[in-house]
Amino acid sequence: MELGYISILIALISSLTSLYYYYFGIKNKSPTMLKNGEKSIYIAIAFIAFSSILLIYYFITDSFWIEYVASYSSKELPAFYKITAFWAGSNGSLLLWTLILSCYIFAYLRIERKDLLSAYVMLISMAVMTFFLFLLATVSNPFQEMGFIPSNGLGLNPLLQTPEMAVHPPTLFLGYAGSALVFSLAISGILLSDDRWVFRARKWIVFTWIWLTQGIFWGAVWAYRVLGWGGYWAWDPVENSSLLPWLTLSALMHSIMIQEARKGMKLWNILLASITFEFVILGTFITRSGIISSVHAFGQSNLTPPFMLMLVFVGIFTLIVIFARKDYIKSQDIVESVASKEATFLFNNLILVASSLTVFWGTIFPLVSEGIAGYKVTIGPPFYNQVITPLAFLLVVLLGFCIAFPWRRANSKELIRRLRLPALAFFVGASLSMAFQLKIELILALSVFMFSLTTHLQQYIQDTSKFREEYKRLSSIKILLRRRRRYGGYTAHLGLLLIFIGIAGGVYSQSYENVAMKVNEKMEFGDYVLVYRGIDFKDTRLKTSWYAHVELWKDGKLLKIMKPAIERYKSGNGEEIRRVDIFTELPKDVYIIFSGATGDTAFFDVKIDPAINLIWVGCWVLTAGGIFALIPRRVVSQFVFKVESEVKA
Amino acid sequence: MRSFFALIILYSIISGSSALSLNDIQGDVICTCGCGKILENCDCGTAESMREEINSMILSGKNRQEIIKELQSMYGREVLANPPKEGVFIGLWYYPVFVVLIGAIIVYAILKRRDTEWYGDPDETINQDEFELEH
Repeated sequence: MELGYISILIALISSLTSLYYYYFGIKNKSPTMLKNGEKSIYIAIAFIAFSSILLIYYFITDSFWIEYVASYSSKELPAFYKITAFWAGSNGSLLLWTLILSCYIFAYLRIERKDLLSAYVMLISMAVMTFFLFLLATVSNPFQEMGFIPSNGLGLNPLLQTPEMAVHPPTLFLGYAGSALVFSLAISGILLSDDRWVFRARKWIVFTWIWLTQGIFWGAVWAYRVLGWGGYWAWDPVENSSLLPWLTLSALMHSIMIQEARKGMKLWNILLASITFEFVILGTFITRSGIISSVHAFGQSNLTPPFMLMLVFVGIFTLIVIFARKDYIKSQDIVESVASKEATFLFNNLILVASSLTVFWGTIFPLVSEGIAGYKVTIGPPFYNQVITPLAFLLVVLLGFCIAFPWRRANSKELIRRLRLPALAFFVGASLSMAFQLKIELILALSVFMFSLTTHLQQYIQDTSKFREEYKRLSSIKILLRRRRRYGGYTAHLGLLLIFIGIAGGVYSQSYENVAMKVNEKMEFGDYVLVYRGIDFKDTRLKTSWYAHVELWKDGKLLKIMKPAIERYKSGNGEEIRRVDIFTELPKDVYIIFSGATGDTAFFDVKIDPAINLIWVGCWVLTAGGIFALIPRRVVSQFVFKVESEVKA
Repeated sequence: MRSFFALIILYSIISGSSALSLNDIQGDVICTCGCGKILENCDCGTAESMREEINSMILSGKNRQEIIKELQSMYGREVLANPPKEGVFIGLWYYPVFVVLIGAIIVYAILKRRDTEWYGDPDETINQDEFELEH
C-alpha cells in the first residue's frame, strides 16, 4: 500500500477517533475525553499535512507511477507548475480542500477558548473533515498507483500553467473551508441555545468572506487574461457556484450585526450560515461531478452519490436542530423605525439572498428542465443579465441609503440634510453622462454610482469632524481603528461601487471588432491606431509559439508593441491556446487576441473595455475593507485605548 | 424632476433604435461545437461558420426573432442560450420575481413589528473583549 494513502487512512481513523472522544466528552462532560479528542485532531492534521507534502514531492520528482501525477504533470513542466499541479485535478483539489479545513481547525484550536461551544464546533467541523477524508480514502484517492511506470506524464493543461491559476483554487478553498467553520459555529450556538456564537463567529465570517472575494477575483482575472475570449465572467455553473456562498455570506455579515444589537434574526442567521455551507458543498460537487456541463468542470466522476447525500444531510440536520431548539430561536423584534440602519440591512439581505436564490435557480435549472421537459436547457448570460441587473442597481442605491441611516432611528431633518448632496450628485452624474451621449443603462449606472459614492465620502468627512470633537487629540487613524468595523465596511462598499461601475462600463460601453490586417497595414480603433508588423516564431522544449507584432499608437506616440500569441504545446494532446496581450491605460484596457494568419494577413479580435481595471481595483479595495474590519482587538487596544484613556484623563 | 425623467426616456428611445448586428444575436445562442459557451465567447471553427450564417440572415433582411427561429430549426432548441418565456420555462423567468415578492412581504411583516430592545452598537461591541461579551 502506498505511503500517502496510508497517511490518509491514519488521518481518517484519527478523525473518527476525535469524533468519538468529542461526542462522549460532551455527553459525559469529561475534560479528559475532550483533551483526547483534541490530540486525535492534531494527529489527523499532521497526517493530512504529511500526505499533502508527499503528493507535492511526487510531482517534483516526476513519480509517474502515481496516476494523479501522470495525469497532470510531465518532465517538461516547470518546477513551479509541478507544485500547483497538486490542485489541477479533482482528487488533488479535494486533498487541498481537506488540508485547508484542517488548517482552519488548527487555527481555531490555537486561537479560541476551549469551552463547551468550542467542543461542539470541533465535533461538527471534524464530522465535515471526516466526510472529505472518507472521499479521499475511497472514491477520490490521489495516491492511486498505475501498476507500471510510464516514461512521461500527460502534462498539465496549458490554461492552468499561469500564476492566476496557481492562486485561484487555494484562495477559493480558503473561503470554502472557512464556511464549514462558520456553519459549525452556528449549529453549535443553536445546540447550546447560546448567542455567544455570534461574537465568536464574526472574525471567521469576515476572514472566510475575504478569501471567497479573493477566490472569485483570481478566477475572473484568470478568465480575462488566460482564456482569451475577452471577458471575465460568463455565468458558467462553476463560476456561479463560487458566487453563491459569497452572496449569502455577505448577507450574514450584515444580519449578524442585528443579532448583536437587537438579539433578533436568530433563525435567519442560522439559515444563512447553513445555506452558505450548502452552496459550498454544491460548488465543490458541481465542479467535480460533471452533472451540469461547464467548461471549468473536471469532468464526469463517481462523486455524485456522496455529495448528494451530504447536501441532503446538512439540510435535514439543520432543520432538525432548528426544530429541537425552536424556543431559543424565537427572536426579538428588530426595528424601532423604518428609517434606520437595521431596516436597510433587512433590504440588503433581501437583495443578496434573492440574488443568490436566482443564480442558484439558473444554475440548477438545466437539471430541472431535464426532469420536466426531457432535455437540459442551457442557461446563458442573457437570463442572468436580465434578472440580476435590476437587483444590482437596487443594491447600489441601497449602499448609499444605508450609510445615511443611523442605528435605531433617523431624524428626518438630519436625513434630508445627509441626502441633499448625494441627490445633487445623482443629477450631476445623469446630466454629464447624457451630455456625453452614453447609453441609458450607463447613465443610470453612473447616476446611482455617484449617489452612493457621495453618501460614503460625505459620511467620512462628517464622521471625521464629529469624532474630532468627541475624541479631541486622538489622531484620525486611531479613530478609524477604533471604529474599524464601520470603516472596514465603508471601504468594502467603496470597492463594491468600483466593481459595479467597472462592470457597467464594460457591459454598456465596450468596443469590439474582428479585424484582418495585412503586414504594415494601419487600423484606427477608438483613440488608438494599430499597425500590424508581422509574425515571430519561437520553439522551446515545452511549446511552439507564434507571436503577432502589433504596434499600438495614440496621438502619434508609440505606446507598446503588443505580442498576442498562439501557442501549441508539445505534451498531452498538443493543445493550442491563445495568449492575449493587454495594454492598460487606467481605467481602460486595449485587449488583442491573435486568431490566426494566412499569407501576409493576420486576424485579430480587438477590444477596448473602458473601465475593466476598476473591477480589479474594486476587488482589492473590497478585500482591504475586510482586512481592516478584521484587525484584532488586542492589536488596537494597545495602540488606541491606552492613548484614548490618557486623552480623556 | 418630471422633465428630467422625460428627457431620460426620450434619450433611451433615440439611443435604442439601431440596425440589427451580429452582436445582437450571438449573445442569445450557444455554439454547437459542444463547448457549452455562448456564441460570442467561442472562437472555434463551428462558431465562425455560425457567425457567417447569422450575418447572411441579417443581410437577407430577417429580424431578430426570425433569425433565432431559423437557428432553432437548424440546430434544435439546445442552441438557445435564453430559454423561451413559455411552457415549463415560465418558472425560470418568473421565479426571481416570486422570490423578491415573498421576501418583500416578509420584510414588510418584520418592519411592522416594533417591540424591540437595544443591546449595543455593533461598531462598539467589536472593541469589547470576547470574554466580556460572552458573559
